[in-house]
Amino acid sequence: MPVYSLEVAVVLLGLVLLMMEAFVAGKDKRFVAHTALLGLGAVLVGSFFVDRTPDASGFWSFYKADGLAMTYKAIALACTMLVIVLGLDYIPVLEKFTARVGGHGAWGEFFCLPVFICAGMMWMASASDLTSIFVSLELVTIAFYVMVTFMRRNVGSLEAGVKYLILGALSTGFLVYGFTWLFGVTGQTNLDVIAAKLNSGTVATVPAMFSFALILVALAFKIGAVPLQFWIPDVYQGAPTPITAYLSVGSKAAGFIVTTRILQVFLGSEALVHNCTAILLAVACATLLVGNLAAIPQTNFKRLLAYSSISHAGFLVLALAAGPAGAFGLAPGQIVAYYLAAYLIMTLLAFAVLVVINRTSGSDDLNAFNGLHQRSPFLAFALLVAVASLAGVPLTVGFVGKLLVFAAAVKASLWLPLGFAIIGAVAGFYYYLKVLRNMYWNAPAGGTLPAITLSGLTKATLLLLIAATVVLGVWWAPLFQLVRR
Amino acid sequence: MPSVLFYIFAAVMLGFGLLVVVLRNPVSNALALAVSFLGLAALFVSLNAFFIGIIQILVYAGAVMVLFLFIVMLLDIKAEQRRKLNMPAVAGGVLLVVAFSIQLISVLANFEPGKRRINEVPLDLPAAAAARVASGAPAASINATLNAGSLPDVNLVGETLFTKYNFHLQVIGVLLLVATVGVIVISRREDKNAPAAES
Amino acid sequence: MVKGEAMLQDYLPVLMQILIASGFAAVTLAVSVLLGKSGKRNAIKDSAYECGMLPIGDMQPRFSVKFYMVAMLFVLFDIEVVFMFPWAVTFKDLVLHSTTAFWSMAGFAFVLLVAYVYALKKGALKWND
Repeated sequence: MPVYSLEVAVVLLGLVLLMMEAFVAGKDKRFVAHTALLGLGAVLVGSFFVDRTPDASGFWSFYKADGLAMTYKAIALACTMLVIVLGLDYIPVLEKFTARVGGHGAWGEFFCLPVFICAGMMWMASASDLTSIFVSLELVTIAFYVMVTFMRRNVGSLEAGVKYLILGALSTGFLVYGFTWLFGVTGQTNLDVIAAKLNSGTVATVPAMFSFALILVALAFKIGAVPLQFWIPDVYQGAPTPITAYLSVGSKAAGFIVTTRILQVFLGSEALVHNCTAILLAVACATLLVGNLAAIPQTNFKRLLAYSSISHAGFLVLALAAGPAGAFGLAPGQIVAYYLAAYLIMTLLAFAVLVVINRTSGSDDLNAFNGLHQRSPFLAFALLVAVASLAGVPLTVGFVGKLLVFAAAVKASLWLPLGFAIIGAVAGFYYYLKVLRNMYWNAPAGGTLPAITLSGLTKATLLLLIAATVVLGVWWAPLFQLVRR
Repeated sequence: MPSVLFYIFAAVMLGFGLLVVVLRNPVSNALALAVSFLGLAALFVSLNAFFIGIIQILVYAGAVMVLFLFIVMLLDIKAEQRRKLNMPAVAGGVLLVVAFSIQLISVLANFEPGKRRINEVPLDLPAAAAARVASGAPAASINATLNAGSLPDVNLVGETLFTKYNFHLQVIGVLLLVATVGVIVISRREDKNAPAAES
Repeated sequence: MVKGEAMLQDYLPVLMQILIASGFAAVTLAVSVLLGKSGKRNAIKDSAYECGMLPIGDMQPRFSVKFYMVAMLFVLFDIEVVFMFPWAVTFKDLVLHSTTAFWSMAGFAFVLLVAYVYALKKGALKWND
């Protein structure tokens, strides 16, 4: 099987799901989610056995199937599956806030659209041409506009959708304008050819830098870095929680593979590397500072995770800016892939707990976590593992990710950005562990609350994610193998 | 003389684009947007991109109509008219535009290939046809049209789109599907007895 | 040879047409203002005449959401047609060479057919209910 059949399979799965959703009678559309899980799982397994050798056709100038692409495809598939599991837990909330058709909430499409988003993210992972980057990125972004606004009976969701739409359109404008300049100075759209052209010394550097700045602004929107980070808290808070998780992991990862590929072009050019690195380091420092310091006063867990997502973007940009040396035998792109795989595990674990809390208490506030230890020791433990890993406590998968970034920064002697990163990591300890105080020491306001029961699928997913966080934090060889493919 | 036409259409596009931002009534904004698109379409045509120019008008006519519906249906026009100007925001916006313009001007001043005039690089159609024959491009009738001295731009768009860029076409197909589903999900009619939305 | 200058010159009549049309409208309006000085409006003249109805409510009526949905779907399928037009124009040439053009449009149209079936099934195009 050629590698592009993976995306074809995912799109066909999406079409089948859409038709099932429309034509199978009955109001309980859970079977759509279950089919999606099975199908995506099959594709995920299949992604390890595909034939990745390119042939002579012109298609391969738009599409790349290197190890990095395959890692990001796996991240996209795994993330989509976990989001669908989260969505299954979130159905009571969806039932309340989606359009009421025939006396019940219409949430069937909530499990179809992520499959198309997944296909878009897989295409993004392989995109190696300005044109294919643009179309696949737009597919993902437009589908996300719909998903963020999905709970249309909830004003917060609508507000988040409008904010995401307007800033998304703005960033698309920046992206296309930057691409236009890049095409204008090089006359090419394929990234490898552009890289060769930029290195040939025949290209005007000032317009190339201009295109770099424009593209960076647009990508900052996708990955949640300064200067276009301010949409993140509001959109994350308003969007349906599984979609927040999807934005925070899937959309960010897809943004980072594109960022990695485009930065390779600019950082590989002798004439541009100096200025580009300086700009990237400034972005990384500002992102680390904004993300971590603004997270400290937050009292809403979703907003806290939003700022945490900004700060993680700062670490990732720092890794990319640290230069081609990398660390521990991993190239910068591979460090980012590793960090994102780790980030996927721990963030989705945190969001899985948040979905349950949100469903049972109807609130995302930190106070809603009060006394969680008494209500469900298992959930409290899951969140403990998640925030410990997000903060970067040793023996968790998040620690290894941070270690790689720090090692790369030390190797490149970036002492000032390293200082910002350390401030960020220390601040992280404070605000992440605030949640623990709520869970273990604060008593709930309204006396003892009833215990929380979990479905089998949720329990299994949580267990899997906890195990992954802890085991991969000690034994990191498997993830290393994955990103080194 | 024709460069006068360029300046006229560019002025129409930019002037009405400015009106989109400046005018207070959303209906006027939408109309100004439509005129701005007309100016843009004329510029496309002046660059020999006839197909893009026509499509610009056809699609955006539809899109602007939808915008009208959107305005009339969803916005409280009077509320928009009453809104006071937010001076810090206006100042910030002006500052941003000025900074961006300075940047753009300095970039353009540094961009040597950008200083050539379009008249200095005329389209050499027979040479293009010869190059197509040499590279074995599929559509033969395009070469005949090129040799006859006119530009078959729709045919060229079609040929490129359906041979070289068919991967992108499939992605756009999925994109349109997602958009269709999205439109229906977000604006589907609800039951008449549905309870009011919550905040 | 096609020159940018020559091409743009072909559109001079279009510009003149635009100028004449807008000039005619402007002159008509100006003349009516100049000659119709006595007809200046005031509050009494603007009020309803004799048994006319007093205007109450919004200037623009609000439309039903179904207009919006049909219009949005129209735009989406309009874009689909934009892609089909160059395909139809070049199909005869391309299909002699290989079937790629046929299959790429077949895939594109199939995906959008699913979208159309979905829209039909969900009643998005149903006007009366």
